[in-house]
Amino acid sequence: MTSALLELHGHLIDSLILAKVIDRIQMSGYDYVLADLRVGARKQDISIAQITVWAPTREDLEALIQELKVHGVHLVANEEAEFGTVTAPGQAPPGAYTRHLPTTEVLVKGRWSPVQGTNVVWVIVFRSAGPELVPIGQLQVGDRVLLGQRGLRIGADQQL
Amino acid sequence: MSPPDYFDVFYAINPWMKGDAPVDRELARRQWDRLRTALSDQAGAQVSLVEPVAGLPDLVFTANAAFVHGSKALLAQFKNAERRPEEPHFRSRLEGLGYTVIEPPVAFEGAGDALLYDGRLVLAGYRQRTEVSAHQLISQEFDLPVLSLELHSEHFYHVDTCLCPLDGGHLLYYPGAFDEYGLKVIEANVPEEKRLTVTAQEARHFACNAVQVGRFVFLNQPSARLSEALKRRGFEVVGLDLSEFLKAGGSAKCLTLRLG
Repeated sequence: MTSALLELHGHLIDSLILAKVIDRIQMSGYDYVLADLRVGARKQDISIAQITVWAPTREDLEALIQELKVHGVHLVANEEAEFGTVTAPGQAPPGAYTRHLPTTEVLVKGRWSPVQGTNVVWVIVFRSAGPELVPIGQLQVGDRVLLGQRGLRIGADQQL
Repeated sequence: MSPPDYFDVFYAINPWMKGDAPVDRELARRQWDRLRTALSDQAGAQVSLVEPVAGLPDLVFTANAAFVHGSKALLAQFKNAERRPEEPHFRSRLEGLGYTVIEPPVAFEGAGDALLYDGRLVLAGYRQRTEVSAHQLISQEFDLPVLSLELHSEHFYHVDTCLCPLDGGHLLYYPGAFDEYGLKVIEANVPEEKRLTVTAQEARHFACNAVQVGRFVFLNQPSARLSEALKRRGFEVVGLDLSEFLKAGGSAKCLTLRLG
């Protein structure tokens, strides 16, 4: 299984281009996640979408990207990651990539109880031992925090 | 407009150009003169000319020169090498007319692939000649919303061969040139009573490649059905014979660029 982060920008919503691109990915049968979507504030503003796609082989993935190119899709996965530096404890730099655990509840005796700790927001910090997930509240001045999704690959098993 | 002094078909960059019948230059000239006279005498349009250039047979199709709106012109960057030498001629004429000319970084074929609808948004084609990323430039430069429509037929290679906005929010179009997404976009943005579809046969006669000035609509040999439908909407139909230009894949709209 191989993955790629794809990006497209333009008049994606009103022109149904995003819908078309997602339909084509679904038709291919590959797993995907709409990783990011920034919708233009006004009708004349463009929107930007990032989609992570998993395909069985690199060739399958390249064939899909080639097919989607005409709609403005391009590959961003091979770009180097970008980091921002923490300047105040517990505060992530602007544009930091964040991870949240999905809202999780447990049914006990007919009552759904929220799982404590799922509201923690995580960021990726590059430290001497390599990149690691750190809760925003534990960030220290000087930490180097991943910005955006460039240079980021997420395994298919991490979609949920 | 640009006189057809050097108009001919000696390369094939669309399926219409692959026909066997040669262009009758004299007939083409008479047909072009008739269009120009009708536009100025019947509809009162003021026509500016681009000087014809030997070796540039498609310079006559001025619709592809640029998308013009307000004081700016987004110049064409032709996809096919055969038409790229037209760009400096269109550029200098537009600058001479006082427009600020902007060059796109990607393939874009002017008002052939970008049509102002109802004065409020641009219906733009992509895939055959224009790259979808050029549409962003239209909205950035002109502050207009753009609806990007994929053209999946080589015969309807510019959006102005299969779609024509008319005054009052009316829209003439050939559904067969668009995919299901494009049709949904059109239906979501144009009220049903304003939509006027043409048949495959009418589309092959370039019914959608029409020019509207005032209440007049100029087009190649319209069918009785289409003429009647346009009349019911308050338009006066002026049917023309533009057969020689159809051999190159163009008609009334392709022969004109609306400046204002």
